[in-house]
Amino acid sequence: MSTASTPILGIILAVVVMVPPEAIAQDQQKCASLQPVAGASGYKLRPGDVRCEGFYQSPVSGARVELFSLTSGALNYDLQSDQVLYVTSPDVSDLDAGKARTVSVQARALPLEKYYRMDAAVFSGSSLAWPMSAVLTPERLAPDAIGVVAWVEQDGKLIFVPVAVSPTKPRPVTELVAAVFRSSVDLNQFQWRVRPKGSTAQALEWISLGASGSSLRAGRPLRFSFELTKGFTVLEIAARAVNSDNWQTPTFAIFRP
Amino acid sequence: MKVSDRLENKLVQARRAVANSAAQKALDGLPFQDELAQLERYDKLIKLLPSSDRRNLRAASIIAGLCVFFAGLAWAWHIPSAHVSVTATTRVVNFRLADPLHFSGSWQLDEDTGLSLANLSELTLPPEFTPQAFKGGASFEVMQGQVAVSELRLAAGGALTIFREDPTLHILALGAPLQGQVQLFGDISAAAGSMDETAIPTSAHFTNVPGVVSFFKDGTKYDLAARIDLKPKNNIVLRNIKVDMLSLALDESGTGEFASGIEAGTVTVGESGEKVDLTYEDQLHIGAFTGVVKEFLIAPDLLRISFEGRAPEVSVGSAGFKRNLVPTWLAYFYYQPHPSFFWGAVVFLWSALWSVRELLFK
Repeated sequence: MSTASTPILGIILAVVVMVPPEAIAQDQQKCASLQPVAGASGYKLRPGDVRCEGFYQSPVSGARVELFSLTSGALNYDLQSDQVLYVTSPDVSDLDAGKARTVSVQARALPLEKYYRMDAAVFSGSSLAWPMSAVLTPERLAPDAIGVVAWVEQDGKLIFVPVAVSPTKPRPVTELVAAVFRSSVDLNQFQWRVRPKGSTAQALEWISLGASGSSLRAGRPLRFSFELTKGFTVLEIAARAVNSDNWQTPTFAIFRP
Repeated sequence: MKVSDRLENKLVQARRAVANSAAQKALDGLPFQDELAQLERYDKLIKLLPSSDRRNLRAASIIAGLCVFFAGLAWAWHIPSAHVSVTATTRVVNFRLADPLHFSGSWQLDEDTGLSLANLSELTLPPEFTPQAFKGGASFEVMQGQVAVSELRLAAGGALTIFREDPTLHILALGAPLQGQVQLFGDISAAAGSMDETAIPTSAHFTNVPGVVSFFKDGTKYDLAARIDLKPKNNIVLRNIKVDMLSLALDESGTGEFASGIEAGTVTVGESGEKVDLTYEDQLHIGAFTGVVKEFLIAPDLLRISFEGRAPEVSVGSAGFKRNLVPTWLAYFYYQPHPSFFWGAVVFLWSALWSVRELLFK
């Protein structure tokens, strides 16, 4: 090695030593621009498997129906005994979406005015270890109080990928999918239907949630489950707020390898 | 240089040499009466020489010339960019997004050929029509039925052109991914197709829940713009759209000649307070604009836009008769809200610099 290159290598080494590991991790997972609450539960980059997690200040949002959870099977863990949750992504390499083939994962708290969020990225076909001691256990966020969604982006469109969330050890994804929606306003109608994309079968009937004539209260989780065939599936939602003629009709592309 | 000027310079130099010599002798404790007498003689001679009026005049002329030059420069030289605020009713609005644009709601359209979509990358129809998705140059047209646009998303960097040809409104999107959704109600008669599939008329009935048409355009820059032609029945208002290009003109013929869409309006330049009324087809050119569309009303027979921001080029008028609205530096200083403070600061700085000069060079 020439003597001239030694100082340059020294500078590079010094820079590498000076850059904190959080900065390197942050490079891989950028936290969302949220205003975190003060204290240990505030939304920030967490140690361990790279993720941003915590509570944040309320942002302004409109009246809408949102997809809160789309997982392979329902969430199930025990706040007393479980230590770590594993988020397992199916192998989505067939999608050829993105260079890194990473799946974005987001968890949020279901109750209105409880602004908790966890953002992470997991490699296709692998698992993310999500320690419960950071926020979930101290803040008593039970399985029925949070939702988890995962997606990949393809040509500017989101394709949802149901992930398996399990305590103790990673669990493979199955065809049974649990979906949870939440509306920020009272609804008098909420209907859904799923169909394989491009299927030539007859149009499916809509399935209603809630008893006819009664309204669905704002913030109440709207839960249903369905079986997911391989390939692309279209999930359609039709919701109408109380005292409104306008329909919200979000549609979601879902992929199962 | 005149002879008297040269003599005066020589006398001043000789006087300075004698003064130095006298000072040195005084410091060494030697007598210096001879030098003092010599200095008095020099002073008398300098006073007796004719005054150099011409030199003073020349200096004054140079300073006056410089003043005229700088004043002319300030009069002719425009400030780098101006704050411009425009409110106008127009036939055409053309802007490029600095941030994503998202419309969500229910924009009701006319029931008679109210909607036509073209040049789309992907189109998904309700399964009541067909479960097949159309790809590549996909198009959709509603011939009859109740239709509403429920969602439009255009990513940052996308260029949006909206122009009116009563009763139809045309929307063109290019340069970034566009996603949208249309809701269909009741009896619908429509046709859909793509580059590979000829458009086939079809009909369906949506009883309780609206049918949903989803469309997507990848927004490749070298591709044709996604086109939405519609006949709105009600108004929508878009607010606080960040843009980095805006124009109220359109190259309708594709020949590079832009026709103004302005019907009426006003332009206000912040720095000068100048307010210019715009009349029918006035050419308003705002080059390299960055700012915010504060309010954009899209009504069945009206487009009204209100925006403000900064631009280095703002002009009104047709080619050859353009009037530059960016203020000159002179106008800029003249229209400052506290001119006395500015000139006070100038005088203070000049005094400070002059004091420093006196301290160092006297």
